[in-house]
Formats: sequence, structure tokens, C-alpha cells
Amino acid sequence: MERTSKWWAGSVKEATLVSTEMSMDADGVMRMVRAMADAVTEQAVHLGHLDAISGDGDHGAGISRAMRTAASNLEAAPPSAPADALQRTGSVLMDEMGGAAGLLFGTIFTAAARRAGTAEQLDTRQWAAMITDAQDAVQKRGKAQPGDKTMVDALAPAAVAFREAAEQGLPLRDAFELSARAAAQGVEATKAMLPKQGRARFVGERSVGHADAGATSLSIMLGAAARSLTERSVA
Amino acid sequence: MAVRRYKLINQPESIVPDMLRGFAAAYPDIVRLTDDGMIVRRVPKEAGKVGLVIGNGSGHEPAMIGWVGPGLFDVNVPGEIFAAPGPSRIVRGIKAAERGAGVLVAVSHHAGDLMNAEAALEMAQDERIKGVDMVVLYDDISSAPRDRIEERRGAAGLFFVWKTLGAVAESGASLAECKRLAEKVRDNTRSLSAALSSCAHPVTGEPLFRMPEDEMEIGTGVHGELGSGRRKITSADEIIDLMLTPLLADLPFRDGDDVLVLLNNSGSLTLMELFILNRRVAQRLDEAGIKVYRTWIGPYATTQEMAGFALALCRADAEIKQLYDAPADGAYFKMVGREREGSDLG
Repeated sequence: MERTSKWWAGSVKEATLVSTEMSMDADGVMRMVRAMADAVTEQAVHLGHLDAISGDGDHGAGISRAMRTAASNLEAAPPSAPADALQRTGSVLMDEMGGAAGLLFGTIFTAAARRAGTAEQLDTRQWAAMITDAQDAVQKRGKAQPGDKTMVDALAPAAVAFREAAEQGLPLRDAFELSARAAAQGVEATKAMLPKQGRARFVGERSVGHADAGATSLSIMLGAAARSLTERSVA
Repeated sequence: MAVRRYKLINQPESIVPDMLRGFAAAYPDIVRLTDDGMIVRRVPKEAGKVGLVIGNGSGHEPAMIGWVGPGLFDVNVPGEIFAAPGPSRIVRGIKAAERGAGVLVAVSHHAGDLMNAEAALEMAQDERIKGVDMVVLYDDISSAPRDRIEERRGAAGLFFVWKTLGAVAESGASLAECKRLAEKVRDNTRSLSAALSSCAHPVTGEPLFRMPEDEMEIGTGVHGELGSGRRKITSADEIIDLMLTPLLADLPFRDGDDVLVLLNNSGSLTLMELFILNRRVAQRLDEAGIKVYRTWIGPYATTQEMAGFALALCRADAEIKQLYDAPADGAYFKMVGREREGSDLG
């Protein structure tokens, strides 16, 4: 695949790459969690407004606080392995954020941790399996299907993009970037959807035209994961 | 109606711990705050009886912290504002409530409460904790039609479940018996709410929803979930008539039934208004040949300073009446427990 200074040219097939970051270790997961925390904190007010359309409006505050706590906990006691960092992040989301969102975002991390196992380094292929497992676990727990206007509408396309990236042997940074873009398209698609899960379903048509807050958070976090890998290769 | 945006708090992050410390400091004879943020009984229930746990989002006080004590819950696991506690916290609650006869986790049906309780029960199973079950409870008739009753939300009517479940567990009933009773009371309970104003989320300071000052909404959920109909604010009697008709038809409550009545203050109604509302409730039930066994009026499950109330009815047979009258001693719900005359003033 041709490599130029422009890594992205509109589709997976045409992608041209600069990043050579092939995998993530425990330190990389820690860096990723911090980047995610910074990104959702930056967008916390926007996420809150999205949540207020069909929820109680505290999604931005909740996920920002929990992710910052998770990042600080990892920095205070560096993780022994990628799975350790992921597991601890998931636990903080479940216990400190709570609610359906805390449990489901936490489930993404704990399911990924389970699949990561004892690996010291996680490459694109492993991450593809981890995100696929995360999607399965989230759907099993929340009983949401694609099209229900939930985070699954970002997570499912992100998992597909990750698997495609793995098949093509793309570096991890590019896999995360493609995955984030697929998630962002999924977020866009949620605007037209009628909510079918949780309290949002009571709002019905009033939510049409607005993106789902959970899907938006997830896409922001995937974008931050990609950037954390770039920052690392520069460092 | 303008929402009061500023609350007397210290930091948004410390709302729940600050509140729990203040609550526990006020009622040391009844409850204790554990290091991991649970409210437990000061004196644990006798060994050999079923333990009762409930986890719930905070912001609804006195629910459910005020419902821990003899004749009520053993453990309450409060979550963040309007967010159920995570599964590992519920598992800690289960362990704290265990007295050798199993533990029942009560779930007010909302997506987060249900998912976290299910995850907690799986976690308990993985940890080989035996004798743990859960019961999912709902009562709000505005949240789903009757043919999809199991999709309904938990709301103020669960008051009757908590009271009778607490009593049956205290009596030494088995785990299966406790669950059966909770389901029975649930299946005989219906509630409907009305809101005259919104309220501010304590963390964001933003209103939970917006409503013109002269309008009201029927069916608003306990977290400000959108109700089923808005209209101009009308008289107390007309509001009760609007609410009682669908409520009575849903079970249905019939001529000759005995009922328990709850008028729950959602936040900032006055007792004066609630008594005026209850005048019409009593009158309408009497006209329908439905006998009121007991009435309770006050703030039980609130939604911050929302101006509104919920009306809940529970059809009571001899078993439910006896359990309702049994003694209870929570910080915010007490029952003296002596035999009383019926409340029929004829």
C-alpha cells in the first residue's frame, strides 16, 4: 500500500498511511484512556445537551468524571498489562458512573480486557477481536439491536471497520482512525432513528434530528484512541 | 415555570457522599454509612431471615436511604444522581445483607437499574454466593400499555411493595415467599403521576425538561421522563378525576375492593395541596364502592423540587393489609404496628 503524508483518501481501499504504530502495550492503553478522558471532557457540555433531549442531561458530566478518574487511577498505579488497564477502566465506569451508560461503557472495556487475556502487546487483529467481543457483550447486556438509536449504532460499524482493517494488516493507529470514522457515520445515522431502548423511548419522535449521546461519546473515544497512538509515535 | 437552578451543595462530585454523611449523622440509631457508601441497618436483622437489598440512583430522597431499618430494607446501595449503582457495588450490598437465608434484590424497573442488577446477580453466581434472587417491579400505567405491562416503569406505587416485602422478610418468610409476595403486591398496584413544573438536575443545573408555566403533564416519570399528555393546569378535583379514571380501569379496581392509597409528593407541592387532592380521591373511591383501608400522604420518592405528585392504589387482601400494618422503623418511614381500627369513617 502506498504511503504518503496523507494517510486518508476517502475509503479503506484508498487509504495511504504514515503511521507505523502496530500495537499497544499497557502504557499505551493508559495513554489511550487519558486521551479518551480529555476528549469526552472537552465535549462534556455538548454530550450533556444531546443527552438532555431524551435523557436527564448528565451524560457528559458522568462520562467525563469517570474517565478522568480511570485515567488518574492508572497513572497513580501503572497497569501490569493491557488487560489490567482495560479491566480497571471498565470497573471505574461501572462503579463511579453507574446507570445504564456506566454499565455499558464499562462492559466495552471489561469485555475487551477478557479477550486481551495475558497479552503484553495488542495489535490490530487482537483489537478487532476485542471490539467485536465488546459489541456482543454490550448487545447481550443492553438488549439493543442496531437501529435502536443507542451506542450500538456506533459500536457495530466501528467493529466492522476494525475487522476490515485487521484483514488488510493495517497499523493500529489507522485501524482506530477508520473505526472512529465508521462510528462517526453511525452517529450521523442515529439522527434519523426513533429511540427504542431505555427512557429515550418515551421521547419518541421528538428525538429525531438529534444524534444519540452514547453513540457520540463512543465515536469521540475511538477518535481519541487513534490520536493517542500518533502522539506516542511522535514522542 | 422557572426552575431553581442553584442548589445548596458543595461540589457536584461530592453531592452523594455529602448527603449520605449528613443523613447517617442524623439517624445513628437506625442506620450506618459503610466505608463504601452503603446505608445499612444499625442493628442487623436476626440470622436466618432473608436479606433485602435495593440499589437506586440518588436524588429521590427520602427514597431509598430512608427505607433502611427494622421491618424495611437491610441495605440500600445509593448510586450517583439518577444513576443506578454498578454491579460490584450491588454485590457488596448482597454480602452485607446476607443473614443465612438468602438475599432478594429489589429492582425498580428502569433500564439502568435492571441491567446493573442482572450483572450483579451474574457476578454473585461467579463468586459462588448462593441463594440470591431478584424481583423486577413496576407500577406506572403511563409508561406502557396494559398488554406490555412488564415494560412499565417503577414509580411511587412501589411504596406498597417495599412496606409489605420488608414485613414479610422480617417475619421469617423464605426467599421464594418474599419474592412471591413482592410480585403479588406489584400485580395489585397501579400509579400515575402529574407534574406542574420541571426541576434542575443537581449536577448540571439544567432543567430535566421544559414546560410552560401554565401547563401540567400527566405521566411524568420519576427522572422527568416524558409523560403522556400536556394540558393547561386545572383544578385539584379535575386533575384527580383525570388520573383516577385510567388508574381504576387499568387493574381494574372494582366495587367492593379494599385499597391502600398513596399520595406521593414529587418535591415542592404543599401538604395543603395534597390534602385537597386526597379529598377528591376519597370521595371518588367512595362513590365507586372502593374502600380505603389506609392512606399515606407525603414525600416518599421525590424528583428534586419538581412540583407534582403521584397517586398510587394497591388492592389489599388480608395478607397485604396485615403486612402493611406490621411495624417498621426507617428514618423516613415508620409504622407503629399496633392493631388499628379500619379507616372507614362511613
